Amino acid sequence: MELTIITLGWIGLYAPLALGAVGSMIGCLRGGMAACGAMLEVETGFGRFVGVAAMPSSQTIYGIVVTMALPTAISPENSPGMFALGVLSGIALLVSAMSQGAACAAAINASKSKPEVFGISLAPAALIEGFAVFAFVFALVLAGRLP
Amino acid sequence: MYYDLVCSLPHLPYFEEADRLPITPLRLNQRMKRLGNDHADQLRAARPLVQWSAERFKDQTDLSLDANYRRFQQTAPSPLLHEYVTFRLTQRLLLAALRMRPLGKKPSADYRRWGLGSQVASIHQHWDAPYFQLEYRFTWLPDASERLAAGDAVGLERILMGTCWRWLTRVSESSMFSFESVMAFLFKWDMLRAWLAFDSPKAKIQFSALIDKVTHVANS
Repeated sequence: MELTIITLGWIGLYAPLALGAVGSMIGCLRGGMAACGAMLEVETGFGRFVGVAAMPSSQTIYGIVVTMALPTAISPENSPGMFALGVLSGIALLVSAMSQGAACAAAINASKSKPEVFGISLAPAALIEGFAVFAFVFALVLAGRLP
Repeated sequence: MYYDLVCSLPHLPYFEEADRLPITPLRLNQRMKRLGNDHADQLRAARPLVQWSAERFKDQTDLSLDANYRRFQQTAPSPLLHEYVTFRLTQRLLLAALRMRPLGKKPSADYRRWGLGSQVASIHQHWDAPYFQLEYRFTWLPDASERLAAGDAVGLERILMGTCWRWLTRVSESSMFSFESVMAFLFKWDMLRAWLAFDSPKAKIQFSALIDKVTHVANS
């Protein structure tokens, strides 16, 4: 029983990083594919499309920081908390990165035909980033309260 | 999902506002090569059923249309593609019925032999009703019937295309990077191409006028 609880603790420790990285991969893939498609249609502005496509990579960084903030000494007392905190923050980062990738793809698609909307088209992606930051910050706060 | 393909396609203006095709057929075919095989097969089978150009009347008979429809169904099309093809075939069926009625023609007793789609039986049953009792389901039908009776071919085509265009726009907006979005683009492009081909001499005159206007501005 104790071994199972400890295992959950280890899962919780690595979950923010792993799930954040998976989300970033999928998000960057979506944005990157959109950027490559848009490059066929426009003559200039390739760099900014690639820049937008890279936006979902921040979730991996948040995941690394949350993993580092969790206690390194895993015990039966702190494992349930670590599991809950790690997995839930990881899921939040995963979904936010995937959604942000789709929002970036939509922004690239819109600004390809209408370059003047480039800035405002990124607003949905920035909002999603805001939600990821909430999940990240409160994971850090709660990590400090774990035994 | 087709993030790269959708982003590689240009914006399509509303067919009445366009003065040229935003992408050439050759380039469009090149871009469409990114489609998966099953999706490409579905579109290949669906296109002859929903095309708009006048050529459709040269190459198709009732039998060939029926065969094309069967071939299309064998590709196990996506639900939205199937819905659009059925919608477009029903549109053509209703127009054919509206054209037949003033000529005093009646559909054959075996209604399955003169049309495709779910409305064949209903049209057969309500042949003498003004709009086959389908005006609430197909709200464009009274307008189209009026244009047809007045011999306003352009107005009729405008209503039919407008109806399909709005349907396809709704589909592409609801799922931006999906196969259905690519399908909507392709069918709208077909529609635009057919619309622009309606009056090429007039288009040439308009084009010359635009060139004159531009060169005049440049010279002054």
